[in-house]
Amino acid sequence: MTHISDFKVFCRSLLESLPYGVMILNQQGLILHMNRNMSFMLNITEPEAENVSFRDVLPREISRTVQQMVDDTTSYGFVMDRRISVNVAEKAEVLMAMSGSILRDEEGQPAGITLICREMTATRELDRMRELDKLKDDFISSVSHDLKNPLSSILGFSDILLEMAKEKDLSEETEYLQIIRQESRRLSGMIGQMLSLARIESGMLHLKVGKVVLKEVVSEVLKVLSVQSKGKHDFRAEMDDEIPELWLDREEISRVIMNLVSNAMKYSPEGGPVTVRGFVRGENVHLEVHDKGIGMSEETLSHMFEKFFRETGGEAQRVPGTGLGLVITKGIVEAHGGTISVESAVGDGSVFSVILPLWLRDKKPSA
Amino acid sequence: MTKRILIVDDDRNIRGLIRKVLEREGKYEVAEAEDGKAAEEKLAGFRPDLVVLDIQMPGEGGYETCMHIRSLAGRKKIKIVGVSGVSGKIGDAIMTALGADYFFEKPFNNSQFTHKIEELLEEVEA
Repeated sequence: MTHISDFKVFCRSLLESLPYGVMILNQQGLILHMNRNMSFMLNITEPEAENVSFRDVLPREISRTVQQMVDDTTSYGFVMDRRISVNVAEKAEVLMAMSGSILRDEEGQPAGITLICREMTATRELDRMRELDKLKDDFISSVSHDLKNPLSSILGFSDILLEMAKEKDLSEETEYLQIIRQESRRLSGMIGQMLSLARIESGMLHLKVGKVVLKEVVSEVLKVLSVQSKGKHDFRAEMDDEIPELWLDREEISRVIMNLVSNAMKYSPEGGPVTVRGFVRGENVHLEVHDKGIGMSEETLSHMFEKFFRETGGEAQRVPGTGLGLVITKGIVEAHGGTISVESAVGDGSVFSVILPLWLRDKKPSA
Repeated sequence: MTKRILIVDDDRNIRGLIRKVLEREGKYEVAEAEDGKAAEEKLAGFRPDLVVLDIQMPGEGGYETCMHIRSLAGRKKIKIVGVSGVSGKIGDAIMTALGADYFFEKPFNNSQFTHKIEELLEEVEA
């Protein structure tokens, strides 16, 4: 590494390395120094605009803004993040924030003004995205609530009709009503998912914790799903007895295991083994779901826990889903202080690993 | 003695559904109210043993009605079952705090619903 022995060189280099535009003016308005970022941001083409007045170099409109900055900084001592927009030739308008402060000499007397400029387009875009995201969350939760009433009527009445049709031995009616009921349940499940997601994202997932024996939850889930699988998959639970009781939300953790195991089923369309393995390693409890299904490409893996992500093309596209299950699963695991990860290869199945901290044995999760 | 149940919900179809589900049991007398205010007016005349109470209603909502019922002195304890689209855990926590006996998240399962109602009304007898 070369040493920067000359302090002046050091200062220049420092100013150039900043991700901001910097312009230093003396009291007469001569430019003492301007870094490249600033010339770029203010659209100045002259390469060495130093020791000239900013009034002679800057485009008229920007020059007026800078004059205002100089005046205000002189009067108030500093100006913080004043929004200015610059029309860079042929480019769109660029929003910037400019701050000014007084530069002082060795005696502490005002010697000039430092102007710092940062681009706001990215910040503004981010603000807008956040706003949109919040709107979307509000929308999802209010719509989901409004959907629940009509859905309750449909589900409830189709149940009653189904009983009536069965009593009267109406086989065709029974079949159609079963479809109505099954599809409304599916709809109800999707609305439930959207609400869960909205709660997770707004940090409103309330955990109702109690001491939970993971082995029991796993065997309950496998019992339910093996009925659904109709013998196609071979479910195995290999849960170590040394896993202690943990403070968990039983319902939510059951949902995590349910999601992972039913994914393993869905993505093993030919059937095959689905194994849930649990053990203690170091300071964590590991819970793994193994399958020998179609697996995932690296590209798919990198988007696995993103909202509404659905693998396109290939066999996976035929599997129905909202693309929310894993996002919710991850949210629940994280609310318990845990992590989730996945390993997979195309054609070679997948392993989802949930890691829960062992301190959940003694302490409740803080969420 | 026939047990009386008051259904309070602003959604006419939900009231109809709950009424039908309960009437199919063939042993309850059922009345309806479309909001909290109407429910409070019906309390004295109908004298329900159990109230099925929606939480989100325009005007006086389920929380207020629940508190009102619990504030009535000198009556035998009326059973209260909350029903709502709000998340089970949140609804359950709030309704329990306000003195409700049970909470169902919509949509609920008909047979689980009637089973719970029956169980709660048996406690009234005891």
